[in-house]
Amino acid sequence: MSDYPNSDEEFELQYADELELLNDPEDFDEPVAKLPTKCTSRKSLEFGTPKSTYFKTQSDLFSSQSQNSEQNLNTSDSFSNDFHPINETNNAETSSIQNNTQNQNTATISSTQNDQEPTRKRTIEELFGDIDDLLFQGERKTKKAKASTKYEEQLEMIDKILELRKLNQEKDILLLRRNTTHISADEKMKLNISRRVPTYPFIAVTNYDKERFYVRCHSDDYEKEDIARVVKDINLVGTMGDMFKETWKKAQQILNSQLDSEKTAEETDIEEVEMEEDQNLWVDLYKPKRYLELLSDETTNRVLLKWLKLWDKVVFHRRPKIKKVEVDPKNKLNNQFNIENQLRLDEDGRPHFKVALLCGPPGLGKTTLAHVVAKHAGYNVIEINASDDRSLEFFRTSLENATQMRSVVDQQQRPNLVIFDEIDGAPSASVEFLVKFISGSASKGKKKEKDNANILKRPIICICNDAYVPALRGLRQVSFIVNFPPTSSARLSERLIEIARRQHMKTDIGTMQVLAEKSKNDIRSCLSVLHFFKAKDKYINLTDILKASVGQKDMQNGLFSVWNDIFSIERTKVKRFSVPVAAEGEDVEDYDMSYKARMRKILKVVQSFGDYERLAQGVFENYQEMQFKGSTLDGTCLALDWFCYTDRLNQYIMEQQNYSFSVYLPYAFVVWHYQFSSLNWPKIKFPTEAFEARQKLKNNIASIKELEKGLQPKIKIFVNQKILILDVLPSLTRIISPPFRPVNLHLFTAKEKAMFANVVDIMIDYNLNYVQEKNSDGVYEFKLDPDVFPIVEYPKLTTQNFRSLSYFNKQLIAREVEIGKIKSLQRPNDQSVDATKKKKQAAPSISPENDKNIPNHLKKLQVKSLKNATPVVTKDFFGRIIDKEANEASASSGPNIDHDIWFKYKEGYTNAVKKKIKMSQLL
Amino acid sequence: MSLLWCDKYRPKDFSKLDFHKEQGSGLKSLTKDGDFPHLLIYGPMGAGKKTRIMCLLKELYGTGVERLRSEVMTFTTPSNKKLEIGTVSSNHHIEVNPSDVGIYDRVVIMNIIKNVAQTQQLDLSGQKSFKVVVLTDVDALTKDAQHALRRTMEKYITNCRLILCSTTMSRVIPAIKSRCLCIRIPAPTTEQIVQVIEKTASLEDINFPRNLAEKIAVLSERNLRRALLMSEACKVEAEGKLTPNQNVAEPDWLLMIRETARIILNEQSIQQLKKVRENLYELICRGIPPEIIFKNLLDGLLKQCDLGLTAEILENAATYEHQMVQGNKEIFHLEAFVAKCMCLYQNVLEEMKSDF
Repeated sequence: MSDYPNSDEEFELQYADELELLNDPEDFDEPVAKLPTKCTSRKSLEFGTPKSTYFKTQSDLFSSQSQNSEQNLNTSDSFSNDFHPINETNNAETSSIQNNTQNQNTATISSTQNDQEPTRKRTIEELFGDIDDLLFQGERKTKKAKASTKYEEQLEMIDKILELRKLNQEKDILLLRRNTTHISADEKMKLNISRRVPTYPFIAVTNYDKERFYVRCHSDDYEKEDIARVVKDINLVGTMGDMFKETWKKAQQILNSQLDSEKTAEETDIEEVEMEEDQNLWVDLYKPKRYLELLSDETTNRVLLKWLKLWDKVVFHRRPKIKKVEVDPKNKLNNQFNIENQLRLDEDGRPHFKVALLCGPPGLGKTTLAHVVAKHAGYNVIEINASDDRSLEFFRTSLENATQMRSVVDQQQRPNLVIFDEIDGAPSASVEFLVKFISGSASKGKKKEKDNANILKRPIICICNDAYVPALRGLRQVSFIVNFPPTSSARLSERLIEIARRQHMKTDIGTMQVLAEKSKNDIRSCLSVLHFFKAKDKYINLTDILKASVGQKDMQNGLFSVWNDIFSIERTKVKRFSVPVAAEGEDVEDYDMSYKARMRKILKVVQSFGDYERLAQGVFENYQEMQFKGSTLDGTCLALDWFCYTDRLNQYIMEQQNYSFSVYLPYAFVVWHYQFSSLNWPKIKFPTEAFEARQKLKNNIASIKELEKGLQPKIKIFVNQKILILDVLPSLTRIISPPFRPVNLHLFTAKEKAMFANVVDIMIDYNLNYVQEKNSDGVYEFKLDPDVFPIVEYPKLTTQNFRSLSYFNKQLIAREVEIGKIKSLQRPNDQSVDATKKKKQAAPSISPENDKNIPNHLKKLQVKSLKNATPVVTKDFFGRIIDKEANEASASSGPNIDHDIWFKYKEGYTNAVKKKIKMSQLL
Repeated sequence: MSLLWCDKYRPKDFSKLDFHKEQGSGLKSLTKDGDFPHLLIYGPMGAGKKTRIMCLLKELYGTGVERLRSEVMTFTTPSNKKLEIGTVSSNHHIEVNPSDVGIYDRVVIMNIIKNVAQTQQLDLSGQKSFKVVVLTDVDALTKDAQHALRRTMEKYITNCRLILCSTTMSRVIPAIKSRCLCIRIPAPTTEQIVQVIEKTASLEDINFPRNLAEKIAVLSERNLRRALLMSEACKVEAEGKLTPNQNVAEPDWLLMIRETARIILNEQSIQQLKKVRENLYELICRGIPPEIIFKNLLDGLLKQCDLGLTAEILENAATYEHQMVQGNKEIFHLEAFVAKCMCLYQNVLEEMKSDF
């Protein structure tokens, strides 16, 4: 057991890389995020020691150097902070010196850090130098130049530090001198107090230990003299001599002015914020700006961030931190986090899915998440949303611009990331293009050889509300779908209360929770409601929120939830915020299971859904499964009458195009609800029966029409669709399948033969035939061609069985029917066939005469009078008919001098010999 | 050339008709003047409407009408939808079933009649000056189409005559009824059917037992076509040796409906209703017209239940069928009717139980 880590360790292992992910990019955020804290630390220093102004100027010197060293200054700041308490214990004079030495310390530290820094952390240049993969190598040189300047900078810095050290050493000497003066003052003090009775004028003093001291009394003049001397001494040894007072004053002044300016700055800040508040919506004002401020579900955030990090290899040429997921069947967690398997890289080093598709209801912060995550991972966001032109052309250019170029104006030169917001509204052509673009086939024709330049190298995030819009079908398959779960109302309400506090609004957490629930966790609408209440400027309590109709969207529930409402009776429970707005005067107790309340609820739900017809169909197909009370069918009858009523009403509305009547449709749902609902949880399935029946009917009607089309005209005039279905086909299917023995046609008795011929004729007349088809088991079967059997047969009926012909018989019939059909096609041309026959018979009769004219030496080549007999049709190996006549003619006609045109037979195949053959000759 | 019996022995002349001979001669005399009004011929299925129409046409134009060809005509609706409709025509007449194209039947009627009416017969000697348009299934025409018909009927009367053919008059608007000479072709009686079967059998040289013929005549519901088809099927089944008490194969849909009626009366519950619905869907998806289902279901119900409910069930059937015609989804109305019947039956049974 000890081999396996415990659950905590396992969790840490699982998320170790993610933690790294989270921590790693903070260096981007730091200059922005940590700025205020830096300020405060510096401020505290200044309060403690007036002398630190000097330090400050020093630090200003530092900060003016470069971005790089500024970061180091940060750390030095924190160092000085650590020393701060010591400074306070020391007296004023020493502290300033102390500070200086300390400053020197930090300087040395920072200098050593300066040496180490570039190796440990990526500098901005290093980071974004990677983007050069997009540009060409020309920039490499400039990069080198940059590096050299950096080196020089560091040298300069070292020089400066050395100077500072010298300065400090000088100060140390001063300090020593001053200490000596202190000692001399103490010695002087000893001369003025004694235990014995002194010689000079004195005052006796007794202390607690009953010891007696004699303190010397000076004259007033002497005292003044002495004080002046001491002060002079001190001033002499002071760091700045007589300048001290002035410096002190100046320092005070600077401090005061700084404090003032800060105060005013703060004031203006507040004013500005308030101004902004007036201008900006709160939604923008309190938009999360950092990853950790995100409100949305943590796993969702992480999954998206993880996906985005996979691009690092292509975009930043960094090895992405993915833990190799070992397929371990024992490890349950692995299976649980199956999503990790989706996050693989393909051969180009790109993630398996090139696009992330965020989907979820509005107001959960999808767009915010995308933006924040993109920034967090170091991208420059390019957003294309519904407000932009999204025609195919624009879409293409913007997509190509975003993914294959980079901004020149932007200082930081971060790589781009495209966010397609509200993509479910985009024209499907654009979405198709996107899909093609992703799969890499959008490159045009010839470019494909050097395709590597053209593949997508930048991540794309698409955002939609409904992932199942038909236009997105293609995209769904190639994208990494992140479904957005609703924000937890606890988190949301916490954030709301924070915002309220910042806005100086008085409210409590319970109210905010209700608000969050009421708006179905829609952050945006919550904020708008709060903003609205801000205008009222008073304490917001629960009833305010409950009564407010604002923030309640006309939420369209799903089909199933509407059906659920219809089929179930809600148990009475204390409902906090369902106090109906319209019924303010009524008691809340009225809102329970009373028919009135239920009716109101059903009406509301159904009306807000709107698609009455589909709803009704769902109710119709599900009600039989419901477990509702009632032993008699009276209620069912009533409900079914309402079905009839809605059907008629619908038909009337459709016919007359008079939609004003559709207001009466929802009331049927109330009846059905009263009738079919129960306290049990209804199991509802999607209504498909009607659709299936309609499809079957369509198929059947299609085969009937097929049959009708092929009917002989003389039959066709006497039948129509209805007659075929009702009368003809049921008997016809029996008539055409008589009890044949499965033997060869030759073995049939005369009677059977007649019957067989009859069947074939009928099938020809009705345009039926058997067609060989492979069934689902892979066995060949003969099926009727317009397949009318499914129309006639009722598999449920056990009383009558259809006799089906054997495979062999069907095959026989099929063959005969084919022949018969060809014959019948030939029939209109009967006369012309006869004519040609006569001609043919005439033709050979001439040949004997011709024989006489042929020269003697050729005579033996002539084959003797073969053609007088009835033409025998011979078939070759493949069953094709060999045209003997033609062959013979070609063989013999070479030397035939009688004819104007003749040709010589050459060995091999020739297309030159052609002859018209009528079908009748072949049959 | 061998056909099904019903086609093979179809009378081609008024003189060869097997029944309704007086009516036949009446029709014959109608054409004597060489002219006749628009006709609306109606009657149940298998009574011989089409046979008489063809006889009439032959009487008018001679054997020319027997040279038939089928064509597919194409039309374009005002909404630019291409429609195809199959027609059967001779030199003298054209037959079309406009309801094949559903709601676009109006376009078909307007186009065809205009086409026909605008071309006059060139050779007037010995020929009639008009062509005939035969419209079948007039009862399935939409109201629009029927209204389109009434004006064209009058306008083009010099060049064309209409023969309308339908099973019921109730769905034909009165305006059309009044413009036509309505002729009803009643279904043949069972004796007449038996006679026809026997005659056919003798022509086929088969010994057909009279009992069997009578049985078939009854089962065919006085539908001659069905009767002939059934007897032919019987002959095929029996392999030549027909016996009087032979099993006669009825159409399966009919058996299915009867089975459904049996389910209804067997037990009255939601579960049964579910079974019934499955059966009804089976029937509907095979293209059995819902009116037929209604009628036969009612037949089945009335045959098997004799609790004095006949009047009530009949009334309900009428109501629901009427509603069904007004509506769109047949299954709702059929099921409502079934539920109502179950309900009524259940109530009566309960009462009987409480009486005991």
